[in-house]
Amino acid sequence: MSCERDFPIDLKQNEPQMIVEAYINNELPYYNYVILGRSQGYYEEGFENIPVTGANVTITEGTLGANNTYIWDQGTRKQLREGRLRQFGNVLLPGVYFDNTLATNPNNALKGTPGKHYLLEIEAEGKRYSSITSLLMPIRLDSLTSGFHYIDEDDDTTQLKARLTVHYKDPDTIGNTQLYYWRNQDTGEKFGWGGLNSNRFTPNTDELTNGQYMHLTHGNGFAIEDSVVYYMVNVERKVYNFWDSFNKARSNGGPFSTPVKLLNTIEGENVIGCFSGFSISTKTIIIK
Amino acid sequence: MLVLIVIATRTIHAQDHIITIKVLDSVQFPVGNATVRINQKEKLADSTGLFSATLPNGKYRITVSAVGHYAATRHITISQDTTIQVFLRSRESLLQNVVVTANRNVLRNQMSVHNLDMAQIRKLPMILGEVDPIKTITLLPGIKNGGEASAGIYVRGGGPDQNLVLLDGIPVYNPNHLLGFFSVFNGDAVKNIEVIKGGMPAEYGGRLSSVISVNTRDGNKDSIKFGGGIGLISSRLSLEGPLIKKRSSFVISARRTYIDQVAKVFAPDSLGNNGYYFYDINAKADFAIDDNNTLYFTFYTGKDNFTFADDDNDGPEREFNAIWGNTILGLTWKQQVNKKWKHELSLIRNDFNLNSRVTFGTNGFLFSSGLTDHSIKNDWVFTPASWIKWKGGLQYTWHTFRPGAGNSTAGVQEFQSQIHDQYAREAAGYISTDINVTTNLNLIAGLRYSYFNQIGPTERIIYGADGSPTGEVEYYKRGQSIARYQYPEPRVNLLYKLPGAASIKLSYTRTIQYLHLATTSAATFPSDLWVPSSRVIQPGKAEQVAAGYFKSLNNGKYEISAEAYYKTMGNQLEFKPGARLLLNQNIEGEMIFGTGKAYGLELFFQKKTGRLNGWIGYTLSRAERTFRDMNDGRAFPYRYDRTHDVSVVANYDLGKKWEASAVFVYGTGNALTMPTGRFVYNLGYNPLEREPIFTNINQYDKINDFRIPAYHRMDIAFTYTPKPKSTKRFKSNWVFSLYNVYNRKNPYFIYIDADEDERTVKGKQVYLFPILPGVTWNFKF
Repeated sequence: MSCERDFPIDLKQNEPQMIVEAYINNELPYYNYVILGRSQGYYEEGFENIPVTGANVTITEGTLGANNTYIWDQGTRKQLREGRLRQFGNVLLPGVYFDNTLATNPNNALKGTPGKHYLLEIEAEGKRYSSITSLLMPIRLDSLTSGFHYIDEDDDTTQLKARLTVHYKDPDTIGNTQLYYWRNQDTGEKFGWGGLNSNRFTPNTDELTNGQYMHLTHGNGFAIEDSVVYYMVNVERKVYNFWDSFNKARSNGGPFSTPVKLLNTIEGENVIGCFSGFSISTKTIIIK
Repeated sequence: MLVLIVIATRTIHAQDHIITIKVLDSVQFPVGNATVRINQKEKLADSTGLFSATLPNGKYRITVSAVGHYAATRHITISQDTTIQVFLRSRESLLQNVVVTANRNVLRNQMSVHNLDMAQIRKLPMILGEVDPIKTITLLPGIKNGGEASAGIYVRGGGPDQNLVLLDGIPVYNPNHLLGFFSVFNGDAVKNIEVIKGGMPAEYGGRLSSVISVNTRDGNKDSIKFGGGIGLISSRLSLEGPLIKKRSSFVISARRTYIDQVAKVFAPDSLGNNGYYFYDINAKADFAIDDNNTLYFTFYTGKDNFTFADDDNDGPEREFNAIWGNTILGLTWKQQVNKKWKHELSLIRNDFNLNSRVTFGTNGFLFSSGLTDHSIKNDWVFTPASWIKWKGGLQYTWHTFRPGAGNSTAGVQEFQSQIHDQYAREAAGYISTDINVTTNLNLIAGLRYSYFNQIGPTERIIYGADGSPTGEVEYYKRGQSIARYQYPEPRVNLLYKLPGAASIKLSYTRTIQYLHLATTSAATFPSDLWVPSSRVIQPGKAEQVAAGYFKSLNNGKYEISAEAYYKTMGNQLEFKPGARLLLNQNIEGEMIFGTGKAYGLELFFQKKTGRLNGWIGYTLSRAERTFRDMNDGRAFPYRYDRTHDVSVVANYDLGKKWEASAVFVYGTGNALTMPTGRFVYNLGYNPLEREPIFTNINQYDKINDFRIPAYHRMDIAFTYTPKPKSTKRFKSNWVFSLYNVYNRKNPYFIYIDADEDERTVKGKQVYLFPILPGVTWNFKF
């Protein structure tokens, strides 16, 4: 019974904000990077990132001291710079900062270690920003199985598909939170955490399932014979909270949307973003 | 203290006698709220048609009048306690004026009260011809709905969960069918509806803002009668009659919507697997044991059934099915103990239940949530003399909350989750007095004392300040106290009569609310979850002062009134943006608490008689909220803050067979939060297509800083009675209505559509109801 029409909505505009997307993980050196951008007015043209270039970006490893203070190991400090990588098709992506050692000596490039803590420092356009994240212990992935087949009827094709089930024991301590990513034939050669597939809809805190043995089936469909590299990412609560708010905000384009603000973990003036410490366990499966 | 002094300074007449008057209509139905005039002094009978007064020996001229009836006069001599029955002849063949009982507001002690009779409500134009008492009260000043198709009722800046909605004195937790298009009250079963929006009497409590009291009618005590109506989307049927002639009667009314059945026939394809219907059944029986003792039995049950299936291949298959409803049972014993004492005892069971199933791809969840109350209520009225009346009582409720349980369905999610039930007891005692201090000054002073205790068995996961669990779990044994609250709630009403049929009134009220409604959507959809006060959730508190001026003009033909109010509210509850309400063990962690403030001026003008009659109401108001964690701690407008609000209701007698009525409403648009900017996040890169991958995210600044356009609309209705003077048993009429006469596209909601593929950003408005005709055929025999 409802009808819709175009309708001029006169919006107020706020000052552009600094946007930080930063990662440190223990498995994929190419996926340790920092992206800096800027927000824009709602009616302004363009949808791509507005890069913040020429920033001074560093990541330092550290440990947690006895009195809950961080001890930063200055010898581990890595400078991240904008540059070209084969994975980006050798184009210069402005605003994307990574350890340039990746191009010459990947084995020596920036990589996270479970149990360690990481300090991100950014100096951009005369302003300083920082954030700390921790790499938890990875969760042991017992196995992956496929099953729960169904016929996927697309517009003109039908295809038999299966679902992926991951088997693991939730640790006995309450408060474990996970994110799930995978690379398969859909993702192809796409690069970056935004290029991987993910399940955003399964509740992944253990408040209701603490300590249970989990058989978690993802609703997403996988083609038979597809080769899937699965990443179970254990994250600290503030990182989970940020991505949870992100998932709520991203599915929020529709008319019934409620205003969701991202739960920022970056220190500094007028900034939004997250420094995500991803502790990854990985396994590969051929879908049957 | 004041009360005691007043009593002490009065002389007591030794020769006083009690006169009790029962006001009945020609078929022995009680006529509520009649005006009784004894030797030029006017007083009101109660809603059950009973009136009593203490009078000295002497001769009296007693005139009883009521809306929709001819007045009746008796001359009696009083030398002992006397009970008389006064029968009022119905003015059925005449135009029943839509008169709000505000007509007696000049004399009525209580302030901020409106009373609408069902016969009056029936004449007004209604969407799709569905008569709805709850919708009608939003045409009164200070009582607002949330906009098009919004379920909530907002009284003087309070929230939709702050209204005590009563069906024959029994609280109704969810008074709406789907999305608030209809309330659960079937017009056929209802006798009248009363709203108290300020100066709440001490016998009411447990909600902050208002009392919305719906009274069902008694059955016919003489013969079996059928009645009903056939409308575009629903039909109604009622049956009533004597159980024991003259002493006991029953009435059963039922209705069901059939949009789903109609759609199946005419548009099976577009309907798909979607469907919706509701039904409800009202039943009431009364039994007069003797002249002084009567038993009442009230029953209501209703069910909504909603199915939505999305077979769209773009995403995982979605299916949603929800069944929800209220069931209410009440047994009341009313006793006239002696000439001075009246007493009422009620046993109540109240149940709200929701069962829903959601499947999203392979992920499936079953939710059930609900609430069950068992209550006992005892009220006493003591009338020692004509100038003073005492009321007192005790209420006790045992609450069981079922906040939700979930099980995966599709056989793939092999884990279970369970949220623990919660229990609480709520009790209250009150005493109040209604005194004529002088002939011109009346005082109603009351004190309510309420108590709430959340108790075990339950278990509770302890969460840290950041919302993450600390790893500790607290266990509570059966009966172990978890949280306890108690508050005094003083209530005061003052009336001072001025010369020339005018009066001024003042009131002060303090109210406490121990239950909170957890809902994020504007439409009360069945995600509604009632939660008790606990260690984390403090009870809501409100204080209100109001002042009013009332005047009757031209021998009661016109009435004008002005009321101003100022209200503060504490412990108001909001949810963090994007909060998950169902299946959330830490629902308390999703809540934030703040304060509210509301003030306004309500003007009301009414013409009560004549071929043209009706009213105009205007409200100028402001409602705001302040939360430490929202809007940087600064006050922001409440979503339903309505600066200007106008209602015009008019009836016109077109002759013997036709009557016309029209309604016009205007209200400032709701306050909304709109984005102030956007950015991209979760970036990736597709080297083959040399394209970036990203997600758009909106930025927000101030809360409720944007206003949607004003809401306004006009509806008209014509009632056609083919044989108004027919003496036959069978009677019928037709109501033809037009909703939204000038086809105003009122915004249901607005949003901004950023289309990344088309590279456009556009504002959009969604509106629901264009001009809509309605027709209903009503009958009785």
